[in-house]
Amino acid sequence: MIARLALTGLLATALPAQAAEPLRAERLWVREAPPVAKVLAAYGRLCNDTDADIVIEGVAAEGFARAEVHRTVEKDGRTSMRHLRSLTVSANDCVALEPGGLHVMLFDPAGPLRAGDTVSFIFSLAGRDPVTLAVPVERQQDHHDHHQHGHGHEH
Amino acid sequence: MNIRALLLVVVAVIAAIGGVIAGVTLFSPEPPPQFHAGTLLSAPRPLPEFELRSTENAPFTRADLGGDWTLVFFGFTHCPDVCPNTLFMLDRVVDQLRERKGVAPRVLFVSVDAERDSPETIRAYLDYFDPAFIGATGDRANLDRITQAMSVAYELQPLEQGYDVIHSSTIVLIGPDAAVHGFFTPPLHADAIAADVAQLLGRS
Repeated sequence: MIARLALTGLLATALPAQAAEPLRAERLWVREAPPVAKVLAAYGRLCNDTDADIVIEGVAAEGFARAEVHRTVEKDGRTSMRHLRSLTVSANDCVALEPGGLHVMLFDPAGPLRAGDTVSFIFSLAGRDPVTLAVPVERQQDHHDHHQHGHGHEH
Repeated sequence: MNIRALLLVVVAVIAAIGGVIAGVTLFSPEPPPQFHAGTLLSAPRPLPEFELRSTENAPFTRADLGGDWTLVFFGFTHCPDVCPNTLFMLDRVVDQLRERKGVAPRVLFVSVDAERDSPETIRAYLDYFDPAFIGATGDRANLDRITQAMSVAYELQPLEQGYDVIHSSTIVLIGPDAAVHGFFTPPLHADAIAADVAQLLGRS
């Protein structure tokens, strides 16, 4: 009896309650690109499940030399990209990354990625531990329905 | 006037009216095309002579744009977001038109990043979207000539690492006469572009 209680006590301390990650990915995906492409994009929603704003200060992706958050900017018929050094996800809110808008830009893949592969992303957060998220590689064609309505919202 | 003469006159008048109606319905011109998504120029603008390199590393000149309608898009393969978006979209335009009209315009992708985009790289890049897409690039002088003629702009901007390419997101419509006939500017939607271009396909 005492032995069993002791064992239960030991197990209780060995298995801490699972802490929820402050930053959660909702349908995050790396868009499959031509095998020759040196720069890829990732889209989806990044959600903040806490009551305080989260500031993403950097991102790294396994198998890529470099990753950055960018916003496509359309002005006077010209397209350019703005590198965002930080991205704030408001408390209890989500930020949408969509074609034509915000995206994670992934530079120099070690090898070509195909739909079905998974890429590990590490988001560096201000004042918090980094968050690691597993992101699948998917084809644009399988997301067509979501992007019928244009290029997403600006800002 | 007797009855017979009167009858002859009536028949003649009816025949004449019938002839006019037939003439009007059979020989009146088709209504002119009206673009809802893009801009159709009232007078096409002929292109100047230019020379780019095709993805087969052969000269690509104004003559290569003759004979068929072409949708032209300027970009670069190091472009992660807009260029793939546009090429996916153009693929859908071509599919829709082929389905509706049995024929579709060519798609020409011109890379304004000749330093990083060789003809072979552009070919490999385009094959992912549609092996039928045509690709080309060229030296600065020829790229300047063709972009100016098509009223699009591009700029290479240095970054901490490498450089960014700023480019027009406009799609240019070139006619079988190798002249600029129209433009499509963002937001670019496959359905809307296909509906506009459909009006031009199969016309005499």
